[in-house]
Amino acid sequence: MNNYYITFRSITGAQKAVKILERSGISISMQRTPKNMVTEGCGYAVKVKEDKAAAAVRLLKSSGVNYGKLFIATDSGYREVIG
Amino acid sequence: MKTVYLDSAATTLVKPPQVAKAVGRAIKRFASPGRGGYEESVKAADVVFECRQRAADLFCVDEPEKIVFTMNATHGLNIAIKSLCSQGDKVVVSGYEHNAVMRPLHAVGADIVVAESPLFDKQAAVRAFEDKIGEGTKVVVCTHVSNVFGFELPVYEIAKVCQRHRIPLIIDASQSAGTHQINAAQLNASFIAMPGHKGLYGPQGTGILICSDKAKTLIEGGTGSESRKITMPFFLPDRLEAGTHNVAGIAGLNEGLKFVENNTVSAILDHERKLISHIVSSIKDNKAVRLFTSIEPESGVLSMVFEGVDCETAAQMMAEQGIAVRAGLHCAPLAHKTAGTIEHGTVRVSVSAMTSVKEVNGFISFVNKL
Repeated sequence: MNNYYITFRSITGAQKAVKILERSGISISMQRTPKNMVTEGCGYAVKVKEDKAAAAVRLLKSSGVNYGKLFIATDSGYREVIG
Repeated sequence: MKTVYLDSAATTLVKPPQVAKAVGRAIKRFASPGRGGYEESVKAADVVFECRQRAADLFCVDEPEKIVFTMNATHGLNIAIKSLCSQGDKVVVSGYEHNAVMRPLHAVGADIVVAESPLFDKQAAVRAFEDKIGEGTKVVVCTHVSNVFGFELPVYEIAKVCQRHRIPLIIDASQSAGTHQINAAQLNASFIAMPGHKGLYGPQGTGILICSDKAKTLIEGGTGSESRKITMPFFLPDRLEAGTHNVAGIAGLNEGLKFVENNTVSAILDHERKLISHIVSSIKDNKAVRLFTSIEPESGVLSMVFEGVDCETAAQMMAEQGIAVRAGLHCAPLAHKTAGTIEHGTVRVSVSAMTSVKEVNGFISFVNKL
């Protein structure tokens, strides 16, 4: 299964997201954003399994948590997911 | 000789034991938060976030990002004042402000207007602000509790006056954080500054600034975010937290906040008020002592002067007997001018949740023999 990465501009934003997602039972982990996912420099990302990614994004949006971008990591590399 | 510590308004020397344990643990195990993906950096980030969220919950702040960690209240007040005030701006303040408010205002060249009102008269304080706030007022700054006299200013009413006039408000919560209810949502202040090392029982070197308005940076540097940009991030808390955090301090502050949460703000204030009441009732008939107090104490702070003994000499005599108090102007000459004590200062006694009746009785005995 592929992994999705939800990027945040700061660690505090990522930590807020972790708290919300963990509370709802979605298994995630936080890490430094891989270099080819960042444009402004450093940041943190929340990694979530493909089958939970849509639910995670919906939950963050409904909780008013702003995130940066959404990426999918496949065998051939990272790709931004729009929308 | 064990010190009877009655200077908690300066700093709470006696802290819950878990505060020091948390500091020690952090020094040994936590690296820099927001910089790495390894365990020691993530654990540091976890405790910083936990403290931020805990503070947001305690002070009714909707987003933990609005909790900014500072070195102390003075640092926070400098950020707040320098964000909102410029040279020539009319700024209305209470008659009880600390130099942490007055000096930055003077430094930016503000036109300071004092809303003078008598000690312990809350209605007069509101009227004074209503009178002085008007067209041309840029900012209002008000202390919540006077660090000299323990007078609790009616900041919720003053906040309503500011809201009616659409004027930003800065609150100095140095003596009220941890003892008086601070509901940031109700106050709707632009900034609320507080130290971590007084009523929140954290270590020295910690503070919190609740930011609900655009803030100008006081210092710029690394934030672990948007590193390619030459400018500081625009988002909180990063915008105001350049450099490495005082992780050990914040870990300790986290435990201090837990202590306040577990004991509750109202119970802590009740304890402090009872101690001050006990002091007042025990020495009020002593003709050599003049007390500055309301009918019911409003906080854990009490000032007094002694007939025939200047305040510094009285404090020194107490120090030699192992009683720790503070004398002089308490970095708040404006408060002393307002109360009429600017020439001789006062001896200030201040208690905390950790102060016992036995300690206070030691002070009472000494005063009654003086």
